[in-house]
Amino acid sequence: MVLLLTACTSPVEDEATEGVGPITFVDGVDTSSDRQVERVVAEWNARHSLLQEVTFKEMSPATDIHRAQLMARSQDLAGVPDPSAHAAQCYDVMNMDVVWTAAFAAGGYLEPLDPAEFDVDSMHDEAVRTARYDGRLWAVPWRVDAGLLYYRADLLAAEDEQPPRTWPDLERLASELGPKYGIAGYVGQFANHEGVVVNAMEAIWAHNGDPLHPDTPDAEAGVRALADGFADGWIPQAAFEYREEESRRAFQDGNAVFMRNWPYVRPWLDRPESNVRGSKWGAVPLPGPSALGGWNLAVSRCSVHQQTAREFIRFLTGADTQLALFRLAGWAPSLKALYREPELELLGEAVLTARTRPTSAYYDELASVMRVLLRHALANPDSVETMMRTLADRVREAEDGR
Amino acid sequence: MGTQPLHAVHRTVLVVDVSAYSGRPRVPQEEIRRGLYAALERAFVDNGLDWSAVDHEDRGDGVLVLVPPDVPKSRVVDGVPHTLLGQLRRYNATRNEDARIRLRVAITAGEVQYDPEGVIGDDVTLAFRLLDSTPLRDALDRSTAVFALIVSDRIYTDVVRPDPALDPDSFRSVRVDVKEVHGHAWLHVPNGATPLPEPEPARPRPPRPPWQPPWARLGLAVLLLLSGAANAFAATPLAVPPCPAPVQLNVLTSAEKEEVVNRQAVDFERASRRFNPHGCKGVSVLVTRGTSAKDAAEALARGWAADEDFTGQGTEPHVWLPDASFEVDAVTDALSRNPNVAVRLDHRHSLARSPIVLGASPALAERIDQPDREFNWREVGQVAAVDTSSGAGLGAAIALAREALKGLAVDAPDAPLRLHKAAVKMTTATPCAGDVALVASEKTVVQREKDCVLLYPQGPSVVLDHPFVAVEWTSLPPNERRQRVVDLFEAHLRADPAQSAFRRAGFRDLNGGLGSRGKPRAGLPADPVVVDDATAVRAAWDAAAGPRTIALASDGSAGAEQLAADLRGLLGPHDGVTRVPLTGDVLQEAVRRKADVVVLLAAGAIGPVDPDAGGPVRAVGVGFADGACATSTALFKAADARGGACYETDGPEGPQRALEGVAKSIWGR
Repeated sequence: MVLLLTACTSPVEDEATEGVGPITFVDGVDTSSDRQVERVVAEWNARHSLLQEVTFKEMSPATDIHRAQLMARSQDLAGVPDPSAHAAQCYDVMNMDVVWTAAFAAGGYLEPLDPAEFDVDSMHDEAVRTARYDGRLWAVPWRVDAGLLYYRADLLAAEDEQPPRTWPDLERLASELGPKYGIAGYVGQFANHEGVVVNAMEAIWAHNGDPLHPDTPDAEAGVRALADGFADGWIPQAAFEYREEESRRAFQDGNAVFMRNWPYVRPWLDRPESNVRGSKWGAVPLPGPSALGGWNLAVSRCSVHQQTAREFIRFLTGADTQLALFRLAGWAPSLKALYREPELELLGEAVLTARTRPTSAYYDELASVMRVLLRHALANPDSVETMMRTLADRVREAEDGR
Repeated sequence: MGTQPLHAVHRTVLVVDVSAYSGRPRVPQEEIRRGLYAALERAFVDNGLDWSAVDHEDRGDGVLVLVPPDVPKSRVVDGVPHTLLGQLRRYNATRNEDARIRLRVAITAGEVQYDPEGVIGDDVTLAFRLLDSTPLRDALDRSTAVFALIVSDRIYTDVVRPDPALDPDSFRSVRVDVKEVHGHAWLHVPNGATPLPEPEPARPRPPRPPWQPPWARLGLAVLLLLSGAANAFAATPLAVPPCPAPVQLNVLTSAEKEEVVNRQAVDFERASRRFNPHGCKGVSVLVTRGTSAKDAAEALARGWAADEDFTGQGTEPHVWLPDASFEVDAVTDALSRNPNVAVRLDHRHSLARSPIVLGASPALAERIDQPDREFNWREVGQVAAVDTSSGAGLGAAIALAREALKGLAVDAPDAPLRLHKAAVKMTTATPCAGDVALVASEKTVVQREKDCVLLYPQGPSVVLDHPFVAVEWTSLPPNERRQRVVDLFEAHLRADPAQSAFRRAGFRDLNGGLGSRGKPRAGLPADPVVVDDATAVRAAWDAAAGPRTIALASDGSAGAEQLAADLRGLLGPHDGVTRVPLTGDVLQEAVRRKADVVVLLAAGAIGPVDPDAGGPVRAVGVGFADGACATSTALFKAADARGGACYETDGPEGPQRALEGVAKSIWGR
């Protein structure tokens, strides 16, 4: 009887787990300088036969749209009786924001992974934590993101100033140098997307507040600092519509003294079309802790070629690929050992002190509540206290998905 | 609290318990609980029962469900377990052994009393006793079925035995001796997985220990139910099951409705908590609008197959909310021509309406206003440029094209000339200022009520009907949970609060109720324009409006120069004309000057023209003498080689026909 049972139930799973074959890899649109993601996929394909060919599919650069497509597709293929009938529709390997990984794991859309197979012990601990849920590992950290403060080195040198390491210094320099040089003092990400949540959380942390307890004086002080920046003009109104790419362009065109952004913009700043290339820019860690961002690679439960999927993830997360992606795309690697390279010192400082956002299956819900209220607070400094109180109520509601 | 009066109501009682839930190593408990709740909810909903209308309580390892008496018991005994079976098989098929679900199910019926701490009643107790009975446990242990069902003797006698559809023979009488329950019950294991008859002789089993704490298996709530100690625990909340992942619903909307739809999506998400008895958010809605309605429609028509569909337009939509049914028909047409595209559109009802109207400055309105706030198209001079890439803009172009053609026969020989004459009246100047009018949806015009007076066209009108379209992706398995959410979203948009939001934004509601902005006229146009092929109208209008560079090659004859002058009179501000010599390399020269079209005008024979020289350029010929367009002539050959005709101008209508032919080459699609 036991034998019979085993015979009836496991082959389907084994076939999928050990399955070797073509797979689809889904990531956001490749915003790296010179399309480095496309390049590493091509490298894999050059090394492997067509049998294990990887098809690279790009999603919208807006992460909420990227997430919605992955979520809908995962839900459509969840629990199909014969996954091989839909192999072509399955997103075998999905690159997902650290903040969604838990939701996909909780939904049952991911295959659990063996930590030893991916050597996650050698990876950034906080990043690995974002890939764990319900006691298991569901994804492998690929790139780790920590915000950096980019500054105009030429202007600071002319003023005989050091890059700011505290919020009061940043405020002072941004509000002095912006008007003096006729450009924006500071730009970040404040558009109606998840970036505004990240920017606000970092400001809250810099003021010793806790984003999950927004109705406290410290948290309020953080949001108020940004709201005052808009009101006083050292953060331009245009930044209300800035996502990562818009703020990068503003700084790269020479239109801002300071910019908060992720590491991927570094190679862009030195491109020939950049107005700040070479010695005109520099970067330091943020004046407070950064939010730990980043992307994890997961294997979909619908995948019937999971062995290929896992090998591809090992290839992407291997030391060679990660070092190349740091050098060419500016990405912060997930492998701790790589931070011993001298060129990674600055990133290492930012990444190692970065803080995780709540690893909750409901982070998405929380973030969408926060971004609306935060943007309102930033645009209306008088409403900061009220908004933060409302936010506290909604955080409690959203935290359990209700 | 315990002294509050209790009133008894009749309920069908269904209890389920996950087999060996607490005995498994490393059980993914959350996954199992989510799976169990999803399967139960589905089993109820698929049988037409509103899961949120039945009371249910989480019992740690299982669930207690109380079904109201208006639901036929046969549906609870037959339909629900039947669907549950399918659901559990489906769930189990993709799970490791750790996470698979096997259930014991018991059904009884009788009077039940609610009190503040829970539910009491002999039949609730009986259900739990049956659930715990040895025959049921053994039946599950000794079979491979995903569940085993036990029903009380009364259920069997009243419901199962009289109904052949329930296959009474598949139930087997078993003796139950649990606690104070001693008697018969009926056991069923689905689909031939019925276990062998009990090998044991029919002798009572040794008595089990007299009493064990119920919370050992059933959780605290049962203690509250069965003991009199309820008040001591009154403040302890029942366990709340985890929230399942919300269904992802991706909505593609037109720009015209974006604001209303965004707001309604948020309301719908919040309302979805009400569908779920535990207040879980049931739906996550993403609203996108893509780069334009035209681009989005093209993405749909090719099955969202191009890379830029994902990076530019957004997610594959489950719901599409375009401005007009003619947009939907156009995509449906395109799809019917390409059966390989795995998209099917379910074109449903209208959510709101908005006619295409005229916005005029007060001065212009005063001049052209007719009784009943109407205008005659003839009185309209310059209009603000119409952008056909949106559905509403296309509606405006259709209104203008219909007026120019007195119909929508865009392939008629004279259509390009007529459309072009209408299109050159477009200007980028500010609308509703001076003589510049705005042709747009009523919703757009009332939003500019400060500047624009609202006027309605005499005769046929285009009405944007804002349909709801469910998009089915046929290469993916049907997702019934999402299909239900799509239906609920449609109902949400048709319900009062959303309809009132449409009116506030300047739309008419689905019952024709007027928008609350501006001063819309009551009643929709009696004579709506029927649009068969919106894609053709868009292409014809865009071609007729598009700026062109025209190369004119004339032999200087009187007829030729007259036509050249007529042509110049038709040009818009962005068109250009360049003279090229009528020589053998005329086509080469036209290409060099980046002309779109070469117009060859000659009264007599022209020298040979190299028809293949110089790259792509359209050509059209007009011959001002008999036989000038004979197939042997260089004029004919040059035009013919470049996709154009050669027109002779003989007869009273000859010159006009020639001009229309030239216009077709220049402004035709």
